[in-house]
Amino acid sequence: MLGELESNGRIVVCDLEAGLGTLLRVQAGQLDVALVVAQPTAKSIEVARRAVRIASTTSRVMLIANRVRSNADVELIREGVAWEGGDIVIVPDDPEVARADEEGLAPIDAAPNGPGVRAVEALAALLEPA
Amino acid sequence: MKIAVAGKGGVGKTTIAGTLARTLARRGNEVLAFDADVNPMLGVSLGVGSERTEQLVAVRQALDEGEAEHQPTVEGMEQAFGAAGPDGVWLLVCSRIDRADPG
Repeated sequence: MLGELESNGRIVVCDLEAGLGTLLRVQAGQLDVALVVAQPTAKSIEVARRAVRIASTTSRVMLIANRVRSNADVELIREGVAWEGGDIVIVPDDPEVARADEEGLAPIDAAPNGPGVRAVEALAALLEPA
Repeated sequence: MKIAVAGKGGVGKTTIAGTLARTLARRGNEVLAFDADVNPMLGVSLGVGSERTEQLVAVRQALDEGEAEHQPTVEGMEQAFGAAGPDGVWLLVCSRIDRADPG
């Protein structure tokens, strides 16, 4: 389905199923950028390490360190993922984003000026086609 | 351009995807937000609301159960299983909940 969707000048943002299943089925040319999200927990880092390895064969990969509280968190993720792709996108831990999730609200509406949403806005600028 | 957000469940994938889609739309891009998660909550993070998100999931479910007409084209599917969200983001739910792997 991802392969069949036409871009036609628009941007498709796909929220994949959790884990590695869909990534394993992606073929070359179906995806431009894979955003691999990890948080400072061993399990999520292990999934991210595998996801980076798989996605690298078909598309550009960016690593996102989410819910980060310190530089040590970023380094934990960088080392655990064995990341060699340059800058990591850092999304700071933001209690207001967590609260928005709990309440079923969009963080961009509930916490637009918080560090979590600001970091994703910066990411959008990086991704936007020239 | 096609962007996919991947990672372990509970890592904040959906929240990032929803916020990213809204931001890209606000910056003047036409954006399709495509929910392929077996736990389809992208609509909530986009700001479509829990109720509307569940309605869209139900439409998708009806197709799997043979109660809705199959759409012959991708464009048809986008219309049948999609809805307009805030900032003009078009949300499309394509998860197959009935085939979800446990865990």
